[in-house]
Amino acid sequence: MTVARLRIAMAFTKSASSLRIPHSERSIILEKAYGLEGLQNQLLTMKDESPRQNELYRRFLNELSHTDGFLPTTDSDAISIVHRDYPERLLHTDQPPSILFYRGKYISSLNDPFVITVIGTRNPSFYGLEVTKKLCKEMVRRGITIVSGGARGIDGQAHRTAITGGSATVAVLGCGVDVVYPKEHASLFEQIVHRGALVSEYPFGTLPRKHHFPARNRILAGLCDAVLVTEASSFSGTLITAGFAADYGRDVCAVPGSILSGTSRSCHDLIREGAVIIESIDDIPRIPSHPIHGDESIDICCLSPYCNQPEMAQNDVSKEEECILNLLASAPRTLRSISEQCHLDLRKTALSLANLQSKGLVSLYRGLYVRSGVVSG
Amino acid sequence: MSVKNYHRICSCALTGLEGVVVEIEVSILPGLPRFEVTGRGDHAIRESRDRVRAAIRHSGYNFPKGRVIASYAPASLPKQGSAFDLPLALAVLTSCDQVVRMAKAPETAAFGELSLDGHVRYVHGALGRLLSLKEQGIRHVIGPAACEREANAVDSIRYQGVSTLKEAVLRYSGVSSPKGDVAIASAPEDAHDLEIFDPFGMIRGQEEGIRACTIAAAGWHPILLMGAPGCGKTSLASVIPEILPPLTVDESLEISRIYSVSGHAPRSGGLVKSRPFRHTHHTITCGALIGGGIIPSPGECTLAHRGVLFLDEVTEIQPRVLDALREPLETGHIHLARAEWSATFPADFLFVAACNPCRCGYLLEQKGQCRCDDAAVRRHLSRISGPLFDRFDLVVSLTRVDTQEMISIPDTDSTTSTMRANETKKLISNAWAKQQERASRRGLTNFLNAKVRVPDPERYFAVSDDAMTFAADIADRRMLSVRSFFSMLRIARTIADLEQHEYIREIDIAEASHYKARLPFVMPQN
Repeated sequence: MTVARLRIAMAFTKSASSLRIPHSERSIILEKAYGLEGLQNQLLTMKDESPRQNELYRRFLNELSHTDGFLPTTDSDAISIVHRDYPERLLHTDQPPSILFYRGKYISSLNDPFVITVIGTRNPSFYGLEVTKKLCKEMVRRGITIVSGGARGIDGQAHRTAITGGSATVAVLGCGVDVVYPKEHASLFEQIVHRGALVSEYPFGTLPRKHHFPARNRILAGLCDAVLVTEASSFSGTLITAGFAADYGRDVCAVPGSILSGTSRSCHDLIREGAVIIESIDDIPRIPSHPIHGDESIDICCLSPYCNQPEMAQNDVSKEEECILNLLASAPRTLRSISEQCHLDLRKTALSLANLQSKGLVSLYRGLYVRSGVVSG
Repeated sequence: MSVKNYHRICSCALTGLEGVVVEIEVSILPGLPRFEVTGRGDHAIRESRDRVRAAIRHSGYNFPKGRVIASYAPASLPKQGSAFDLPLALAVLTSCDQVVRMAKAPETAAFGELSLDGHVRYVHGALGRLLSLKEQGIRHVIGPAACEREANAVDSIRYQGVSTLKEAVLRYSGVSSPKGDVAIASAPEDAHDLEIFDPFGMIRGQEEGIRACTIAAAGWHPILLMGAPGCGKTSLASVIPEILPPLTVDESLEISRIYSVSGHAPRSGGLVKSRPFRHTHHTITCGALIGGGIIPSPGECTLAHRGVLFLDEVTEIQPRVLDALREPLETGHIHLARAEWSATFPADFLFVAACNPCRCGYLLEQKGQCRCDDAAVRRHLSRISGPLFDRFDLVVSLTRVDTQEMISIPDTDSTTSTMRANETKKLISNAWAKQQERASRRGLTNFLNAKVRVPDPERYFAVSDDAMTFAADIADRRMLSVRSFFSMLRIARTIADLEQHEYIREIDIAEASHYKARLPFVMPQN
């Protein structure tokens, strides 16, 4: 049954896009057909209305025969715009995709009372990753579904945090949901399938193309109540998503960064144009202040070792350690530069750093020591 | 030899580092004048006929008439080189009675190359040849005068250096040198032992690098220097052989033999006195690195035996070539096998490698000039395979020293930096002594920390309980493999040895863990 539905969905999407039929028109056809099941009959009855419809039906049958050997995994499915589980927020955008293909169980979590999209650069700094981790972790505690683009960097971090926290997460892809792009996210995508869903408007087997991604961004913006940009340097693709979000009336939120590094330039642009400035998730407008699904999500969260990361108060650090922490607050550094700036010898510095690492206040990122954990006060 | 028109003389061929005694027989038969050489010789040996003929003529002797046949035994062994010129000429002259040996003359071997006018030239491998002749019980050897310094290192062999064929004929017939056995003065060699070196003089501000190199030298730990172009990786590497303890006599002989065979012996003659430092170009081939050839010859890592093998730009070397180093790093020698031969070369070297941390090289710089993303960094560093990377005990991140900072460092006057170098050198030799003492209690031959293989490293390395929990905590957090964990203990042991502490303490573990940094591209955990 599912396979038949998927084949029809794929054949319809392919034939309609080859004829450049817009999504609005496809939606009308689907409405008349009462969903994917009645689509073939509907196309047959419409066939004589115009030469274009005739051609559509011909191509549809042709594509359908091409999908003969198609064998999707059991968690794959397609959902049409008339289905009751179709993400409702998308309906209020200007070009809702008529059919969404997906893999995973929790497509319905997109209809939760609050959904947020977290996006950012593919080449993040340590700061960007930490910020994403911190904010996503708080949102996971409140059971908020996190939507992102499944790309490297910030997107991947957002998904990963949601998964380790035990919350639902949805990745919207610019390729078919059975295609893994980027390749290193193969295992992450498998986890997302179990904890949420991979969603795409492109049929199975579609390879990533440059022009797919701006189109994908409109879905990212359409699916949520608010878009959160955690780190984006200049000329970032996240600006496109933020633009769509503003058009659709979603709240655009951005996290400020250092003006020295230039890695948050786009975030600052967004703030300049009126985006909400975010320090903690309570700054996000209309965010639920209590867990959505009762207490259950908290329990899951606390079971994962990830949440037990000690967030130490700073008062039990020694004087040397405090000096190092203050130094690292400004920039990542090497051992040599720390020992020179703090006037300690190399051995003592190494000991302090090892202690700070075991307290979770310092970690190594790309070969340098960086400040990590939550900055209190 | 009472047979007429026949003579037999010993010489020595080289296969790999070993010498094989070769018997050269010459027989003069009736027939048309011809001169034939048999016994699997290469071009140099076949051409030796012309050199020998000319040298005999120009030394005032006559080349015998008739058919002259020379045979090199064992005939199955491929032989090469020009060292058989001199014994061949002596055998030819003796077999036609132009040289008469005394009745009870001792068996005498000879080697050396002849020039057309009858001079005897230097050949490489004198030390190896003499050592294997000695093993065969031969006590008298005639060879080039240029090899005399090398030959002095071999006791119980009476070596007679000659500079012309005529002189060789005299010695061979039993007339000893008019000078007698003048002991070659060994005085001038020791002159450079005076402390005039200043290895730290050209390094400014790389404290972390100097410390890491000191640890590497003290425990023989493989080390990887990672840093931006021009931050001083090569200078640091070249310091290491200077701060290593001096060679022992046995080691010096061992190295000299390798160098003599491969033609790298010091120009002045004599033994190798300083630790080798082999700096290779990154286009090096597998054969050049580990050895090979039709007749086995040692590669760079054998030439670096007991010294430093420095591979610069290690990420640019072909991965296949690099991975060939895994075996010698583990075992300390190389076993080469081909269809025709197999050979084992020693290769116990201190492995020092250097590379840029990413394609542009500026990944570790704080100013953030690097624009390489994680995937690019991973691609760049994946040229070093995981198993090989695992074998680097120390991974050091170096950054450029600011020009401002460099100027502000007081112009290191050479006496303080020389003093510091001597101090470091002393620290390292004390650490070596400590390791040797520990190993001798267990009866181990490989005493250096990186090489010690014992079933109970925790006990052997004397880790205090606190330090052990500390180390286990770090290992858990960093998800270190078992190999990396013990490598961290080894480094900590070396650090404690440098400090002359009996037990490993937390501070040693902490410092060791710093050099066990994971690859820069690895994401922070969670």
